Order: sequence, then structure tokens, then C-alpha cells
Amino acid sequence: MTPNNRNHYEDWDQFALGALEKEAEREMAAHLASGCEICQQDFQAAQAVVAGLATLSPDEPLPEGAEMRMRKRLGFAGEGWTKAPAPISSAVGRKMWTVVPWALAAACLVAAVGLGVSLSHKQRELQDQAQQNAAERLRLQEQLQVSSKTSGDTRGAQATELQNTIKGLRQELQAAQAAKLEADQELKAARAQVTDAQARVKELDANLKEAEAGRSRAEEALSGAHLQLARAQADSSRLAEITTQNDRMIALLESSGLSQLDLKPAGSAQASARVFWQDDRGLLLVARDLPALPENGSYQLWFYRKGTLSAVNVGVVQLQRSGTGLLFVPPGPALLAMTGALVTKESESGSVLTPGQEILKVKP
Amino acid sequence: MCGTMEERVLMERVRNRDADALMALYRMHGPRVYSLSYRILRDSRTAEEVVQDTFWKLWHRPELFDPQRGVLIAWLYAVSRNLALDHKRRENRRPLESVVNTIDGQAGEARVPEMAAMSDPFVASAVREAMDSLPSEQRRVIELAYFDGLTQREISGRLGTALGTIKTRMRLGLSKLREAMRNHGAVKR
Repeated sequence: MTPNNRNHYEDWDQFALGALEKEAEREMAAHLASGCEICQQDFQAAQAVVAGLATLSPDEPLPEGAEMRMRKRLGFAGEGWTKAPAPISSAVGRKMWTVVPWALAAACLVAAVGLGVSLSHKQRELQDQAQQNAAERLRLQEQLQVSSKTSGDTRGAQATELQNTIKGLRQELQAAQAAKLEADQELKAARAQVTDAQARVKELDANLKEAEAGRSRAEEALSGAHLQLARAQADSSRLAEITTQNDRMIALLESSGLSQLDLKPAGSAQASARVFWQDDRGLLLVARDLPALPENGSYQLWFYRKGTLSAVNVGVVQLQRSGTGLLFVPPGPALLAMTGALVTKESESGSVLTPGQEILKVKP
Repeated sequence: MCGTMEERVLMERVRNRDADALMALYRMHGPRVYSLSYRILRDSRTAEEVVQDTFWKLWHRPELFDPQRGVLIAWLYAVSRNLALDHKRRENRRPLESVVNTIDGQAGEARVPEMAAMSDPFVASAVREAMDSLPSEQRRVIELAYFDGLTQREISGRLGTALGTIKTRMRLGLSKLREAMRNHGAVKR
């Protein structure tokens, strides 16, 4: 048996019932004795619940003579209490002196009559005495009636007061029950409101989550669209460049003063190439049957220039799907100074300063 | 202040050593106290002794009952149940436990059950209905604890059921009983 997280015990019903084991009982009793208000209130309520169990006992009549034995046990029987017990209503306010006048009057009357029969010479005297006694009896009767009336009035007033008190308590009880009912209804309504609000919050939470997921999806889609746009722009730019270059190549090839020169294969290569050029329109290299390239390798075009033996890198030959290599060189100082051309095969680690393996070459 | 006006007047008179008032209370509550004692002891002679002991205590120690704390019948029930269980346990040579002493003794004076509506027949009816509505196994453990004074472990041994199961049945049963009594205003919490 351990207290809860607020250091209060919870099984007071079982404690009040006396159903717990010694150790648990001692522990809880010690806790009660420590003055814990909350637990003391819980225990008191638990006692009420347990006390209610007493009403489950089937009704059993008290054994015959039980009340007399009760009186003896309490010592009432031997002290003038042997008379039958008066009901509670008659016990209230009754006094012994209300009986005494009757007894006194009766005794006087009996005495007077007896004396009249046995002593004739005192008959007159006794008659007078009887009359006096009768008068006294009458007076006592009147007094008794007055006192009885007074006593009755007092009891009546007490009964009325009790009835009024009971009535007042009943009204208070009814009012309290009505107030409790009203409070219960308000509580019920408040609980319903809380439940509704909780459901609404839950629904809004779900909507929010859905909206956040939608937003995430939309952002992702937007990002994808941006990427596609960038790619399209790049493609467009590249296509525009290719178109421009193609236009230049067509213009070059259609020009009337076009010069051309064949490059010869170097070593065992079977490739062939030709350059077309015009100083003011550029140069076009067209190469065929180029040998296979290593991975990440390329073909590069180099120019020989006047007055030098070393070659200068011009650019990368673009391989077409057909295997043909093309490179357009725009007009400019490099073209004007060209005296010969060289196509090399370059590995991934090739340099733009030093030509690699020579494939095709024309040197003036 | 709990109890009927008549009961309060009678208790005041008992405090003033009015034997008639005590006997009036005996006639008012004695049969119910006897019924409970008889239900526990199943012996009319011993049950009557318990009733006598209960009212003897009320006569000689009226200050033990505090009307501010509850109705007289609840106090009489608590005292007579303890005395009856005491008789029963004495036969088994088992002493009373602290709860009994807590209610009956000096320390328990202020702990008379607070059932303001204990004497209300509707409450008694509600308690019966609540008990009748309990599953039989829950009702059984509560009755064994209340009327036979058995602890949970003793009930477990008698019924041959696991202690944990007995605790659960008792807790559930008492909880339903409390709810029923609360609905009738017999308990506040």
C-alpha cells in the first residue's frame, strides 16, 4: 500500500471496511494521525460508504423480553423504572404530580364514606367533611384539567415547533437537491462543451497537418518546376548557341572564298579530317573515323602559328552520334595567325598546353 | 448537525442522564442494531448482548457520539459491528485491528460516518439496489469483509482466488456502491 504521487492514499474504502492487512492498516492509520486533511476527508467518506452496508442486514425482531433485559443491564429496573416504558411522545413533559391529586381525593372520599357508616354520631360531621372533600376533589380536578391543558398546549407547541423544523429542513433539503441537480446539469453541459471543443481542436489539428503536408508537396513541386525551368533555360540557351554556330557554319560553307585543307593521319590511325576556313567567317573542322576514346577522354584541335613550332590549343572536337567530329572556330587573331592544324587524343589528365597523342595533322 | 429533531432532543436528555430517553432511542434503533449484529453473529443471544453493550456504551460514554459528525444510527452501526466482529474474532482468537479501534476508541470519536441520509429508507434501498446490481463475485467479497470481518488475504484463502483478483473485485464493488450512494446524496465525495 503506497501513497500516490501527491502523497495521499487512495484505498480508504477498503481501509474503512477493515479488509486490509495489518501492515497497510498501520501505515494508513499513521498517515491519518499525521493530520492529512485530504485523506481524513476521504476516510470519513469511505466510512459513510461502509456504514451503508449495515442496511443490507435483513430485519430481525428483537427477542422477547429484550427491552427488560436491557433495562436490567443498565440498572434501570431496580430503581423505580419497572413500569412499562412510556412512548416517547408521552414521556415528554409528563410529571408525577399530575397523578397525586387524584389519589389524594380518592383516599379522602373512601375515608369519609367509611367513617359515616361506622360512626353515626359523627354523621353530620363526616357529611360536612365529605362535602369538603368533594369540593377539594372538584378543585383538584379543575386544577388537573388546567394543568393538563397547559401540558397539552406545551406539547402541542413543541410538536408544532418540531413539525415546522422538519418542514424547514425538508425545504432546505429540496432546495439543496434542486441546486445539486442544476449544478449537475451545468457540469454536464460544460463537459459536453469541453468534449465538443476537444473534437474541434482535433479536427483543426488534422486539417493543419493535412495543410502542412499539402504545402510541403506544393513546395516540392515548385522546386521541381524551378529545376525544370532552369534545365529548359539551359537547353534553350544551348540550342540557341548551337543554332548560332550552325548558322555560322552554314554561312562559312556557303561563302565563295572558302579555303580547305586535309589533315593526314599520324601513325597507324585510319581517321581523316578536313578544315574549311575563311579569315572573316571562321574555321570548321570535320573529322571522320576517329579511333575510340578512353573513358573521359577527348579530341582536341590545335593550331600552328607563324613563327612558332609549338601548337596552341583551340578547343574540343564535338563528336556527333554518327561518329563525325565537328569544331567551329570563330574568326579572330588565332585564325589569322594559323599556319597548320593538329587533332590529338587526350586522356582525362590531358593538358591544354601540351598536345597529347597526334591523330591527324597538317603542317605547312 | 445531523439526525432528526426528536433524536437530537433524546440525545440531549441522555447526556442529562434521562433513562427514558435512552430507552426511547433503544426502541427507535435497537431492532436495526440487533439485525446487523445477528447478521454477523448468527446467534440471537450474543447479538442481544452486542446490542446491550452498544447502548451501554451510549449511556455511559455519550460524549463518544458527536452529532456534528453524523447520525446516531451510523455510530450505533459502527460500534455494534465492531463489537460483533470482536465476538466473532475472539472465538477465532484473533484480536481487533486498528480500524475498529479507530472508530470505537478515543481517537475515533470524531470519525463517526457522515451519512446525513443514513436513516433515509431511500438510501437503504439504493444501497440494496447497488449491491444487487453488482456481479456476484464483487458482492461476495464485500459481504465477507463487512459481515465476516475478513481481510482481503483471508478472503483470497477462503475463496481460493488470487489476492490481486480479490483486491480488484473489492475496489470495483465499493466504487459502484459509492457512486450509487453519492447519487442519492448519502455521501458527499
